[in-house]
Amino acid sequence: MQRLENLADCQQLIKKCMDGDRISQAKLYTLYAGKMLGVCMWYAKNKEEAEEILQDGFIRAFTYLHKFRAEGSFEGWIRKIMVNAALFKYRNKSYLKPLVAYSSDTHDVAEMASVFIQIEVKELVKLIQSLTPAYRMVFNLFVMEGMKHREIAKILGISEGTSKSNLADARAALQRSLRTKNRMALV
Amino acid sequence: MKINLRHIDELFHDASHQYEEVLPEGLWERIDAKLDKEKADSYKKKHIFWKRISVILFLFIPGYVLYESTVVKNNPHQSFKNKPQPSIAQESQLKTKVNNPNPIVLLNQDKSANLTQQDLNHLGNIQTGIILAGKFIQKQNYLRNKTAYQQISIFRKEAETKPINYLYLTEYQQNKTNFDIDRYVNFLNQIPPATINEAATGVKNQIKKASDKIKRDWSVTGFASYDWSQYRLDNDAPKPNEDKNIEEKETHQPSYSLGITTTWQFGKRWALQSGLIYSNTSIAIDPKKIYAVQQPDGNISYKYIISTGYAYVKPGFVTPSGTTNALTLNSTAIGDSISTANAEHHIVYFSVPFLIKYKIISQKVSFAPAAGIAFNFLTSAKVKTEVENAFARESIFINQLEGTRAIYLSLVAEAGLQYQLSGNFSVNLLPTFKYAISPITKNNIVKTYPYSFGAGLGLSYRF
Repeated sequence: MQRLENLADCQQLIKKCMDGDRISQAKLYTLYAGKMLGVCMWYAKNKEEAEEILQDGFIRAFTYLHKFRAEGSFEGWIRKIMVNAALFKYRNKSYLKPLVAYSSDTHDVAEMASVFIQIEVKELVKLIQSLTPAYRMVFNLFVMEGMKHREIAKILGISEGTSKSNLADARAALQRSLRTKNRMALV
Repeated sequence: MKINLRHIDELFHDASHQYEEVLPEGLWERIDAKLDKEKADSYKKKHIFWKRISVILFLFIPGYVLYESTVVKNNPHQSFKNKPQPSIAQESQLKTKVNNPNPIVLLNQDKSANLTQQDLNHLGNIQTGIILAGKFIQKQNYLRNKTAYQQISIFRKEAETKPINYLYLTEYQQNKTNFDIDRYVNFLNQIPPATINEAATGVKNQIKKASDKIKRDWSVTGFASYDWSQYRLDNDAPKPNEDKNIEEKETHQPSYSLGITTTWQFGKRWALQSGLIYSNTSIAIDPKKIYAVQQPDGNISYKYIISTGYAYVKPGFVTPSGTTNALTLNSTAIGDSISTANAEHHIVYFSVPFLIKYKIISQKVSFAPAAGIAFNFLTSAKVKTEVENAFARESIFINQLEGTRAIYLSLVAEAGLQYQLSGNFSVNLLPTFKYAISPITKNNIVKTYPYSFGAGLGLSYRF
């Protein structure tokens, strides 16, 4: 998909979007919607919810476009908007309750043997979507967005220990699912 | 994708940055519609400030008028703080006259003496008092005696052109040459003391009347107006003749306005006017064919377009489907059409005008041209019609038009004619012209600029 790598083109399109030019907004949507729907899919429980997040995200993006500073990439900026839209949705639904207390002897991925399996990205998305909202959020923010537990705890309103615990549980759940899939594939 | 279970973090991270999803149809249309809604909401929020200001002004101005009028009644001098000085000077002169009831004696006694500046000023005040008395006597025709009347007139004219203190000072200092002080004394002696007292009272009343006139700065007018409305259509839509089609199908009906305005007179002739005006405009719409289109939310409805906006209409009866040529219950395809009957359209606005007024007063009649702007707030836009196909007919009530702006600006010109009925009340004839300078529509196929001529009749009360 074509992206706005040229800074001048990007700034021109963004300026038109800020002026409320609907054609430019549609163009910006066409350029980034597919990729951003992909981002939303990791944070939603299904495609319908991902579409809702994407819709809210684009409305926010067009509303706060004037706050975009061309210091980083536009794709990075709009991705953050989508993640924030997803977080907002989940906060409103009060999904994010701590599930288990932190204990240091939870599943340690590093100690597991190297096992290789073959799987499609779509199936990975489905696995993430099958996680509970709390696990999904912590896993996504830690793994996809590269946040630290301190930041995740602050954003989600949970303790750092709970964040670590949820991450470990999410990893374990994903590994279990992947192993099951692998066994079924072998059979 | 080959995944090593030891490093699922990295692999999920990589997968998330590569993954793209196929976009569903209609998602942009939903965003587009939501953006429109957000824009409309922000527009409403933007103008809510002006609506609040208008309401506050409307409530504040009559309150202030009442407060002012009460203060003036209870403490007349307080209202003179910022008033022109002549009335105060006149009052002071009058007091001097009244406190020195026998100026003639004073003049006789002092005519050969060295007068100080204070004495001369005092004489000047006396002179002014006599002039005022003379004016009053002339006007009221109190002096029946023709000779005395003529003498008073001569004295007044001379005294007006040659201040007595100036003459006395200069002539006295030049050894009294050519200064006939006796002549002035004779004139003054001609006026009977009773007449002077009466004249002084008359002058005092006149001054009071003049002061009262200055006090009466505020007035409130209630009026009703019969309006002839029209509009100018601009068309920047892809269909070039759409404005003509709309114009041909629509006929303005007689409309009316009701309002209450407050006028604050800040100068002898200048005044500011504001208030609140309710206006109801009626438009008759001829029968026409309307077509089915897809709404922003994806539903298919018939779009009823008029000069002031549009509405989506979905009748409950069976409609022909354009795709199958068959009759399908409640299914409408894009491009299907139905006919509408004659329609009545009423659009209601509340307006807040801000006008500057110039008054030309002649006796009881005054002419007051005024000009300014008005903020017009949309209150309701309704259409009543019937739709029909070959099988059924259904009444349609549209209570909310889309594509209509919540507020528009107009220029206002007024040529008021006022007749004073009594001290406080007057009747007004109010021919008015309004012309919109911003369109009343948005996102419609035409931009509509209404204008109207109004003939109003009102009653004013002056505080």
